[in-house]
Amino acid sequence: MPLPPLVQPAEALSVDEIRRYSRHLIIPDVATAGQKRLKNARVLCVGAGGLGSPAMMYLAAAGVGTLGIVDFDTVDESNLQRQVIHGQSDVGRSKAESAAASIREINPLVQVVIHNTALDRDNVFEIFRGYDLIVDGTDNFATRYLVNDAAVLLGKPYVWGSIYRFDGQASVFWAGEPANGPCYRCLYPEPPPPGMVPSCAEGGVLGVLCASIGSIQVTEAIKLLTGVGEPLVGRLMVYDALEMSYRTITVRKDPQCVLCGPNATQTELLADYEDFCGAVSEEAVSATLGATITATELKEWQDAGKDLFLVDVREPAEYEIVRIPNSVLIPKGEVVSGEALARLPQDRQIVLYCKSGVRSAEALAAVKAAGFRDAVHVQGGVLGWVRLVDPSLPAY
Amino acid sequence: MPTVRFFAGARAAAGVAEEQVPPGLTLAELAATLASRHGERLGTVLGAAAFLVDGQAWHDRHTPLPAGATIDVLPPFAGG
Ligand SMILES: [Zn+2]
Repeated sequence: MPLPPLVQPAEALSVDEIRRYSRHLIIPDVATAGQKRLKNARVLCVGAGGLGSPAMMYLAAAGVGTLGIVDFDTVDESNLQRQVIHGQSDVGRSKAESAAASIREINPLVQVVIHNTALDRDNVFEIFRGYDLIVDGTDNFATRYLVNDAAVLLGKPYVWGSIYRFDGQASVFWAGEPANGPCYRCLYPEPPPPGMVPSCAEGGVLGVLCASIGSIQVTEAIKLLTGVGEPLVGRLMVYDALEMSYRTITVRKDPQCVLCGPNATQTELLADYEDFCGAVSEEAVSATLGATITATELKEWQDAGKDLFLVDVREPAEYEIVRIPNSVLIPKGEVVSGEALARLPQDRQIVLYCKSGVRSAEALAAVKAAGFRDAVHVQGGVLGWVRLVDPSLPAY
Repeated sequence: MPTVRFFAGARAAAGVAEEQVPPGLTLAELAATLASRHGERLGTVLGAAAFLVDGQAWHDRHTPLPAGATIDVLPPFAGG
């Protein structure tokens, strides 16, 4: 179903603008009217990361008049494999500032608005209200549910995209008038159980996948702003880079959706999205109480010759990159399933670690439940070890 | 017979893009059938996945799925 344009056209294009956007202006479906709509458009990108990078670069080049950036993070070297809006000299700089500088270089006619903050329930409405359309390029479930809930409650459309390893998904969620489409909760009413779905930081992502999905998001954004084509409302695009296939799946509005269904019960934002998505399960939290050591303490135990059985619960590829000396690799899945419990010695101090302390907390709950009462895990994981004990090792 | 289509991590765990399943299964029975066919790794993925029956989210675990339905299995991921 075609939808009316989201944005009214600007009064006129300048001579500079006509020169710059000429390849748009000669497409009959965009033409001067469409380009004037883009000039008047205000688009917010949530996250200046993998998806946000190509999204903002192409939105800027396309002549979107106002581009907002929400990101509180700073550029890390491990971002540069895919976050192409940032460069080597931006490492350590605020992502929002770095992205803004790139946008100004691509197209100085774009007005950039920097929101150098984490999006939260207290600022999301105020920030979203200033924009016609939101592009969601966040990297965690808590922010994704926050973006969805705020967009639905404000009746605003947003272009959603998500990536992992070789897989990508994209859709337009617009539950309000006139689209009356489904929202993210129609597809996934609740977040997955904590620890069940790895993030890109844990599982990895093919860098160029960001461009594949980010460019779909920009395409949909331009279509919505200018009112051309068939928007990806009520459909989910699923991309498989290994198979090199794009498949579209129909997604209907869920009549039972708590947020956008006819009998919706959720009429405001949740009190705490981190809590809703449970960064760590309750079992894991209680397992870690009194059973958490720092990387520095681990080093002291090792130096004192304590009889340790140090278990790395990450995946083999991560173990290859960096590890704490004298550790054995037993991936978390094998610990949690019980498969690997027989490999744990009864008479030695068991110490678990992962990348940052979340997976090791989950594994610790399983190990303690199996009767290893004295087992502990390392706060901050191998990243903590790199930071506190051996900065010569690579962080990732 | 209903057709199940696997996407992303579910496709990787199942090893096939789609397959047919016996008619009359409930969602709970379907998940158990698929896990026993393809292994526990798929079982784990199914624990977090969305099931779309002819495009609509299906939450009821105990009503038989419609005959001839297309059931899309979509694991969530949040990377960006
Ligand atoms: Zn909904």
